[in-house]
Amino acid sequence: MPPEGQFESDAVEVSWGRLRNEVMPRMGVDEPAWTEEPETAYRRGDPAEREILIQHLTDLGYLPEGASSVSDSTIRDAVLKWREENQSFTPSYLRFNTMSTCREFLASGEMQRLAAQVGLENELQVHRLPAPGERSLLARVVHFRMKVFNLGTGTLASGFTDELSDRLREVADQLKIKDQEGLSAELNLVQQLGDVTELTSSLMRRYGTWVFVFRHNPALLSNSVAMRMDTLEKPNKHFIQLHQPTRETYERLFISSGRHMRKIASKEARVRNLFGADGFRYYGAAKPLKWIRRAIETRMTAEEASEHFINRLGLGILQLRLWALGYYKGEVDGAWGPLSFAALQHFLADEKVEVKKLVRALAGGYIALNLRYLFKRILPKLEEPARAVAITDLNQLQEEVYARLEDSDGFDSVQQSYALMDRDEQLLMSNTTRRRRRYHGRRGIFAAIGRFFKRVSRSLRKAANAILKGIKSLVSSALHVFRHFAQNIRKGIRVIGLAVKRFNFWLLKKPFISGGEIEPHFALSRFDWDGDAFHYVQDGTSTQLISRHHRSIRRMNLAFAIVSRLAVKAINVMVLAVTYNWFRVAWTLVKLLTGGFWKELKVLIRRYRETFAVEQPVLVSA
Amino acid sequence: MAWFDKIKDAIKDTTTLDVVTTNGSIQLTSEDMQGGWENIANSVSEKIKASNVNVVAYTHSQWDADTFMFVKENLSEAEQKLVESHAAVVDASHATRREAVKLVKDFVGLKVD
Repeated sequence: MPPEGQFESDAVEVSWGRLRNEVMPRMGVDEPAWTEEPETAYRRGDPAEREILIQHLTDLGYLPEGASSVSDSTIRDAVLKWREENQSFTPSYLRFNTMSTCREFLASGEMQRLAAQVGLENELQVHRLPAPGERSLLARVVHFRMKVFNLGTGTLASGFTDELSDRLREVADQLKIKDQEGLSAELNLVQQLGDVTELTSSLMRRYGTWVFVFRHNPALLSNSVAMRMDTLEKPNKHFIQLHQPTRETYERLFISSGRHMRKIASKEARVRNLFGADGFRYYGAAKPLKWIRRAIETRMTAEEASEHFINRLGLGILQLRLWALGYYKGEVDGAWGPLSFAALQHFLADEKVEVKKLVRALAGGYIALNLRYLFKRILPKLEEPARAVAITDLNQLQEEVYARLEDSDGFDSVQQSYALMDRDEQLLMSNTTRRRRRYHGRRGIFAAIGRFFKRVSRSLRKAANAILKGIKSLVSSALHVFRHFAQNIRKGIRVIGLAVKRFNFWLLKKPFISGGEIEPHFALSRFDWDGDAFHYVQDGTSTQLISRHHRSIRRMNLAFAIVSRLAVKAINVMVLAVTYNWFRVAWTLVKLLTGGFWKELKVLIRRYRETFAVEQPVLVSA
Repeated sequence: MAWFDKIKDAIKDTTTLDVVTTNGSIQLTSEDMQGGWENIANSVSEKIKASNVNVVAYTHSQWDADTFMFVKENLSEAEQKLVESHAAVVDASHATRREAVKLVKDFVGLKVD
């Protein structure tokens, strides 16, 4: 029986303990028969061992199928050939008593055969783990988690360094993670980094938001997130291959207040006002009154925000979950890019959820992502037995931490804290992060009364908001109508003014001059009572000025025609009204509106408006 | 018989329409440009009367639509534009007279059309 440990082949990496305890019982596969000295056993010609070996070599193609008798030398040559073809394999993780070739081959062959048999290749593939038995396991776990969330230096060092300790303290401070239940803040952070749900809750409690905002990178415009935002097009291999994200082309992730982002989503025009030119705001964990929140808000530029670890942390959580579901194929590095969005799109398409409900394109190159709704969609999928991916990085790390911390002195409480994970997960699913307490007895009555008044106040607030909205809409409509009338009244006054001006020219025989006041050239026209006209044009006067001169005369004539007709009819109606001849007043009004007068008036008005057209001929004949 | 001649001239003037288009180069001083629009108009009118201006076109129409039109010969390109301007003024004059007659008719209660 080999000791518990891990081994690795070029195709399969798996924890032997996990394989023996979980996969094999589930699949009904018996444990391979191991001997203490396989080489000697083989040499002794153990028929069972020899049969298994021949079967593996046949399955892997090193021996022909259906061979009736295989000599020992053939078996040895096949094994040596397999060994030769697997030179790249580094057996550093093999922890067997005897590092014999046959033992190694048997283990690897058995694992591949088993994987092929149960069809769990994907399930058996896990990332390389810290070697068990090392004294600095916790440090390596911490390094690994920090690397996953891009919080540390990225090196898998095997010890605690001052830099790591300082970084842990810094991150814990920024996330407001404090000492509790006998655990230091740093260890609390390590625990949370091992549990995505807990980490998510911390993040959301700290920043009070579920809406993430991404900034679009114009370099990826043609196939970018923003351009594909309104489509449910599934990512294809060409898209992924051609647009692998790089450090330079990642689009940055921003976080802002969910409340404000909802406002932004409804009115994109507010984006610029909220974010400023290139900055954004975010708020603390508490949600105080609006004016207090304004007072405590901080402001960061986009460049500063892009370097903020919270950006990568939030997206890292999402990437990890999508990766666990098999949608995300890239690195869990907390950088937003085409792969991240492709995974998100793929998931939403399978869920038949419109992207618009979760992701909204905003003005100014921003997009908003409703992470809370997204996690609510993702979490049930993780719990489905049929599609459950039991082996993931974090689960494996968590299992190792379970196993190793049992014997440690100062970390028992860490293990106990992990028991809270399920409760937090359910809390996340319950659509709120606020833990509601239930009271009984007298306190229960008071609590019920409090809830009643809370509901009443909420209803009143909704009603007041609805009324305010209605009043606002009404005022807006009235203002619009008033503006319309005011505009028409202003036009009417202008027409009357022109008509009076023209009448003045005609009655007093005043000359009408264009130019002259501001330019040396001018045109002059003077009309007599009977229509006789004198027209003078100064030498060098431009054609444009002459044209403007005639257009003004034409406009005044039309205004005079309109006003004089209306005035005559108005006087006519007034005379009839003074004599109380209401029947004739009504009849006259009907005739005016239905007869030729109204048509003629409309023609005059149309011709008057045409004089304001931009493209007017230079000289217009009346 | 002076009053008879005045009536005769008034009727003749009313039944005819005269439009004259001239151009020239009168010199306006800074004093002419002061005192508001009315003063400028008076100054310009006086200057035109006192200056030599060229008649580019002249149109005389009688009540029976007999029309006489004078156009200066050897027109330059700029003067051709002035002839077009003259035509526009003739039309404006007709429109002015038509509207005036219409207004008077409406006020005295006659049928407009």
